[in-house]
Order: sequence, then structure tokens, then C-alpha cells
Amino acid sequence: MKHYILTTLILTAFLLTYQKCIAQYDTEYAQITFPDEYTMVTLKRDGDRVKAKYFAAEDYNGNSVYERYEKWSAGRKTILVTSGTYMDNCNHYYNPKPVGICIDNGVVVNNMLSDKFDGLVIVYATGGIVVSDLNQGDLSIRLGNGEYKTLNIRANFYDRLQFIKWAEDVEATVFQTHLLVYKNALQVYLPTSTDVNTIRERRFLAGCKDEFGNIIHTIIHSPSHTTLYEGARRVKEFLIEFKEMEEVVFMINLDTGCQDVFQVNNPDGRTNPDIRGNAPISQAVNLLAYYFE
Amino acid sequence: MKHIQIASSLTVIIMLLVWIALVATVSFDEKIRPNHWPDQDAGNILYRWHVDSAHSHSRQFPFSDYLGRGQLRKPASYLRDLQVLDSLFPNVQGTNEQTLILALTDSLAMRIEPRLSDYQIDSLIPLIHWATSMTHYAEMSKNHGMLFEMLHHFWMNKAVNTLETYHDKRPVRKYHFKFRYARSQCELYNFNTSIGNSKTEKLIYRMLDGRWSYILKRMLYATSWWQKTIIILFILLTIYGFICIIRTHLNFNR
Repeated sequence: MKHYILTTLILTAFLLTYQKCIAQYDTEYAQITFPDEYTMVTLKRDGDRVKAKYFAAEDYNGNSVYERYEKWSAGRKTILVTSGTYMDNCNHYYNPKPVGICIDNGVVVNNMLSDKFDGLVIVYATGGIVVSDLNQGDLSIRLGNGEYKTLNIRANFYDRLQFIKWAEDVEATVFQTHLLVYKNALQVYLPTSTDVNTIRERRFLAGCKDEFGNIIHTIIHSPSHTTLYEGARRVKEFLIEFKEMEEVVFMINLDTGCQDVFQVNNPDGRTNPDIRGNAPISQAVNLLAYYFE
Repeated sequence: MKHIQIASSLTVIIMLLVWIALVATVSFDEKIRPNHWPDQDAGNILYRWHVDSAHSHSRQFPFSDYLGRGQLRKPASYLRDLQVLDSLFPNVQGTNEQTLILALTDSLAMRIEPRLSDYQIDSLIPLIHWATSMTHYAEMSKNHGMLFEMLHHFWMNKAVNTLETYHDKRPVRKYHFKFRYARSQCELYNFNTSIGNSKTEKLIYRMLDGRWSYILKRMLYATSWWQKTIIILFILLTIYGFICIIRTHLNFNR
């Protein structure tokens, strides 16, 4: 009997250790929730273990987004990968261009700031991610001398130029998209009757604060077809009422159009077969990846 | 049998008429009255302003005299003007550059924009060339790189916005050769237009890509009931046509 208990204990301990050893990421930092009303990947940002990386377009050597991602992800513990902002086309053979201002790792892809989207996303080379409301004009950047400067890149042309130069210097990645929620306030408005063609599956990236003030990033995929307004409203309510988030700091839209790429890895590193977008990752024209370090 | 022949002939005629109507409405020969941008020397105007203002900046910069009717000049002449301003007002060199930036961006835009409001692609192309030429001076100029960079960004933005307005007014313009050229020039300097594809174009692209599941999904969720009805009728008509062909073929073989 003694031997049996001892063997069981040793075996359990071994299995637990083995599981920890083969795990690609710590489930304390990244959790996958499905099937539910929503498919959710919750990422804890404290401790800077979970980082973000964005591939905005093909590089100057002609490597496609997928090729760049493949090269980058080798040896990295990728948690998830999803399509990011809007492109003017979704087939990489037609050389798609991002809509709105876009800088990829310090290389300018598009200088044009779009009036249609209020969300400006900055993904730092260190893996940090920040979202700013362009309408508020309070984008804060840290200059080389350590000082912080507030820029209004939509209204002030000089500020915009300064911001582009700064992003080039710090090798930041920048893209523009629909800002749906900012500091707990919904930023989209009721759709009109002509918005029927905007009814589709939705995927959002939300940055929230929990009751302890921890920053949590959540990728929420809504399989039910809704308008942007309806989808955003429901997800915001869901996060606050059911997930008990203290504040939704920001929520941006991730494109689920023809470039709908979504791939989530299980803690053991294998791709979850039940969570996927409509397009294969090999056809990606831009990608937002979260990884564990 | 006769009915089928009449129906198919009618379908072909209707399709032909629709095609003719589509082609006829594509006008690549719109009335374009190009605006010319003659060069002029503004040095005298600056000297006169200097004399008038009696060595002070209290008097406002003579924007209307300096800009004239909104001529675009060679970038080197702006550098010369800045040197003149710096020699006339050496104590406020930073302000001189700012004044010139203000003159050559917002003030100049006020003069130029009304002339680009119609489809003036022949006037827009030289404007794009002028704006792109600024990049070389931005790289070369040691002290006044910011002036040229500001001008480049400001006017490329204006050009892209103008192209988008032209497209919004008449989407078919994006196939116009000169429009495409202007657009490609902007894209060359990473100023991309947000001119997307129409629903029909998207459908064709998706069909070419073989994204049938995507098309089916969009048809199910993103079409109104009458669009669905038309699509179903069209599919039924096509199937009926095929059945008729097969039946005729079988009858003929007998």
C-alpha cells in the first residue's frame, strides 16, 4: 500500500514537472476561454512576460507578412496571432497597403493619417503596446533626452512629423484602427439602416484594468454576426459585468474581413484546432502576435 | 423551346445593353483646364516688406503679395527667400522659417485648393511633382531640412486627399490613366490613398482568389432580402438554362 501511494505521488510529481517543462507559456499569464458566447484569450501584462509584435506589411526585401512571421516566431513562445488593421486589399499578390498611418519597426509604410479611425496603436520594440485616442490629442511620447512630450498629431502638422520621426528613431510599430471604447466610454455610435453590410463576425483587442489595477489584454472573438456598434457595446458590457473588469481602458477593432486570420496556441505549443479565422495564416497581409518570454 | 430561345436572346440583349451603358458612362475625356504654375522672384517683395516694416516683425508678412496667385516655385528659390529673410531679420531666424512654412502651407493652400476642386488632374500632377521634389532639399539642406520636410508632407497629404475626393465624386476615375499615375506617385513616397474596391470589385477579386466560402458567408449575412432573392433567381435561371441545354442535347442525340 505504502509503495503504491509513493509511486503514485512520484508519478504525479513527475507528470506535473514534465507538463511545466513542455509548456510554452504559463497559464497564469495567458488563458484561453471557449466555447462560450465569446472566444477569449486573456493576457496578463504585469511582469512584462507577455509581449506584442505587429507585422504591418511585407518588408523591403519582398518577404511577405507570413514569411516574416515564420522567421520571427522560430524559437518564440507564441500565444496567439490575429489579423490587425484594415488593408486596401487582402491578397498579398496585389501588394496591399494599410489604411491610415502605419510604421513597421521604424520603417514608414503609410504617412497618411486617416480621418476615419480614431485609434492609434503603438507597439514598442520592447513588446509593449499603447493605444491613444487621436481625437483627444494627448499622445505622449518619450523623447531621447528622457522628457515626455504630448502631441496632437491629428490637428498639428508639426506634431505629426515629429511623431513619425520619433517612431523611426525608437523603431516603433504604429497602426491606425477603429477605436471602440476609450476610458470606459463607447466611441462608436448607433448604425444606420444602410449598415447591413457591416454585419459580420467581430474580433476586438481590449486593454482592461481588473479590481487590483492590473493591466489585462483580452482578444475577444464574437462568432455571432453583429454591426461594429452592437458588437462593441455587447463586449464592453460583457467585460465589465461578467468578467468584472474595473475599467475598459481601450478597445480596438481587429479586421475580420477577407484577411481574417486567427490562430491560438495551447499552452503545450500546439495550435488549437477549434479556434481559427476564415483565412489561413499563409494568406496574412498583416499580423498582430502575442508571445511569452 | 421557342420561349427559351426568346428568353436567352432577351438576356443577351439586356446584358449587352447594360455593358454598353457601363462603358458609355466611363469618360476618360473630361474637360480639364490645367492651371500653370509660373516661376517668379519673390526677393523684391521681401525687401519691400523689410523696408515697410521698418526693421520689425510687427507688421504682418505680406502673404498675398508673396504668394501671388498661388504659383509654385522651385524649392531652391524658397531657400533663397529664407536666406533673404534671415539677412533682413537676423535676430529671429527661427521665426523666419515658421513664417515661410505658414505662407507655403496653409496660406498657399487657400489659394490653390479652389482651383483643384473640379477634376483638375493635370494641375494636381505638377503639384505632386513639386511636393516630391522637396524631399531632395530636405536631405541636402543642413539648417532648413524641416522647412522642406513640412512642405513635402503637407502637400502630399493635400494631394492624396484631393485624389480621394475626386474618387468619391466619381469612383470610375481610379481607372483613369492620369489618376493612376498621380496615385502611384503618392504611393512611391508612402502616401497611400484609402481608395478601396467597390462591392462588385471585391466580389470579382474574391472569385479570382477562389474564396467561395467567404463569398457564401457574405451573401448570407451581408445582403438584404431582395438581393438574396435576385441571387437565388439568377442561380435558378442558370440551373434551368443548363437543364435546357442538356435536354436539347439529349433530344438531338436521339
